[in-house]
Amino acid sequence: MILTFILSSLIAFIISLFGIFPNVETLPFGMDEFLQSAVANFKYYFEIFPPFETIFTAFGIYVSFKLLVLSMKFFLGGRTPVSY
Amino acid sequence: MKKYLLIALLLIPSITGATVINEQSIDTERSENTEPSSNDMSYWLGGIVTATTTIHEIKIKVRINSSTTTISSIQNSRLEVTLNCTISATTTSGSSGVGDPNRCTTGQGYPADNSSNDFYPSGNSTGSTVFTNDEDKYVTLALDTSLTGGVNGLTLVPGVYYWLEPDWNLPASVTYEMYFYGSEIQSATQCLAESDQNPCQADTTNNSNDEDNIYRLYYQLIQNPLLISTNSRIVDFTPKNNDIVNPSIHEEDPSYVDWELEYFFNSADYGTVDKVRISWYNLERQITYIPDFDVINLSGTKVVTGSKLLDPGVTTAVISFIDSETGILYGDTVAYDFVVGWSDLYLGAGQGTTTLSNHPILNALQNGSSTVPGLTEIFASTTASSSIDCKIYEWWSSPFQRLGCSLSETILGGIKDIFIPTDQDWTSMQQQLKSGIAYRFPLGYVTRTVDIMDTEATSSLPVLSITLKDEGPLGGGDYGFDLNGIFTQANTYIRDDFTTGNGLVETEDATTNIWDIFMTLFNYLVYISLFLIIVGDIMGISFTPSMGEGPKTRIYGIRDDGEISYESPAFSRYKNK
Repeated sequence: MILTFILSSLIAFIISLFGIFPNVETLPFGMDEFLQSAVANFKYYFEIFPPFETIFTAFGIYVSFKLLVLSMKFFLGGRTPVSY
Repeated sequence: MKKYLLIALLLIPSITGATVINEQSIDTERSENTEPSSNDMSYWLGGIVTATTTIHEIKIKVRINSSTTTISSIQNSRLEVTLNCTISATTTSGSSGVGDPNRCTTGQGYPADNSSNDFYPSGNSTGSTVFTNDEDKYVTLALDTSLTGGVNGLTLVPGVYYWLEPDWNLPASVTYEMYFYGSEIQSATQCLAESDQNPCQADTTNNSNDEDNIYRLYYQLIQNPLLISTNSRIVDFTPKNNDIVNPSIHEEDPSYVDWELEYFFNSADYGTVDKVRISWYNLERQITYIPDFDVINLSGTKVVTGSKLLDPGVTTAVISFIDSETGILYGDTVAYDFVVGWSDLYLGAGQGTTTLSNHPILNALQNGSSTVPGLTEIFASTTASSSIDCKIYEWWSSPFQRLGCSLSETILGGIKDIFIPTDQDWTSMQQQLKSGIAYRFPLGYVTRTVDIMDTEATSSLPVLSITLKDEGPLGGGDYGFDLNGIFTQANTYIRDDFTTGNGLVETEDATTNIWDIFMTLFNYLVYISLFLIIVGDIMGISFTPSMGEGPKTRIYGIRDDGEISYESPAFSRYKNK
């Protein structure tokens, strides 16, 4: 109970700091509907044709890798340990 | 960076193999008895026993028809229920006639002597219930006790007809309805025979002119109709049998129980059944069920998750495929017994504990006020070594603790609670943190995005169609392009099992389909290709065919394309390497 009280107080304090910010219920600029629709379409195709899921997952991994490289080039410039 | 992060979240899908349909929206309020009206007879006529199963009790509901019966005339009257002859079994072949009461005297494993074969409603030593108003009365016939030969429950075997012959002593001029329930099963009745003493309809009038006011009603416990594919089945369900889940704070408090259902559905059964139903039976054998959820017209394994608010105590979840129009259950009905525990109940706890001997559920069992299938078995092997945790801050208010714990034990057990947060405390704090921060600006955008990515809702693209002008040989024609249909058909071929004859390849293993066979190879090819591409990018090596143009490194390629001048600073960096 003692530790619970301390931790709960800490959490309440942290939450109060964030209390000045508004709650985010939907994404702005119509992105919420767009993203929901896009995800629903993708998952439909994953369901009706499972190879899509594998291919899309692989594509996602490759794009993530590219983003990682871009980030490294942004921060490290010419010292990026890749060939390009 | 935010843009990149958003794109990354968008493009990283779930890698889980099974389709997950989130049903969290289902039944988030406290469960209420959602029995359909009495007009919905189809609900009660679901069959049972497609696999050998044991029932521990039979529940009989009697509903007095207040429109034709003067309630005051039956107030304080007793409904005495005895199951004479009870249940006998015989096969359909060689029977002497449907509904022949003589067959009740040749039970299997039960003596024909009625006097030693009576069962009384549990929870009432007199074997009767008293009418005080027009509410429904439930009378439970326990099969776990008093059975000659020590049979624990009644084992029902598929293909065998079972007969019930209750004797009723009802006051005169009462119109009533009766419904029979098996314990693990939803309902179990289908009237077979009609006679002057045995009107088959649910509405039965006691005219008090029959001998001893005894009515005999014959019911057949029937099998569920079979599905077309033997592969459509309930695969797994959580909570498992005998699990103790999701403790609530006090023994009176209901608590949410997360459940997960996995089932395999063959598209050949689509049309025969269209939904899956989970029916929940609580300690008092009241029934609730979540809204049925649709099966998808696609073959494959599906996983459905959700959360259900349940009262503490033993709960049975009964899962089956159902034709929602007729209410008939199809295929094997699967039941899981588990205990919705509360925080005071720990099996196998250590210090500061006491035994479960005074547990209210056990007391209810021992004094006969409750017969719960599975509960005896759950506690039978654990009572001796099991214990409850005595908590000091609940000792004062909880009659359960007063029954189970001494004050010294409570103090010992409560010491650790003073310093160490319980699992519930950790969970509560985590939820507070999440609800207080995760959805606030700016982190809320990420959380919302992740939530959207995590939803499992699906929607198909619209069909593209065009209509040509009324000119030329093709004029006026309608042309459509339905990508959904194309892939749905392809999916049927690669995911159908081969027992239905729809598959392209015959195999001995009926559970194998084309996707099962080639999935591993396909995944291997895709991911090894991805690995090589990434390694190639890092090392500057292209794995594409060189077509005889010499070493196809990135640098040579760029030189050949003339993108780098030999006098350029870029070339100067490379020429000495």
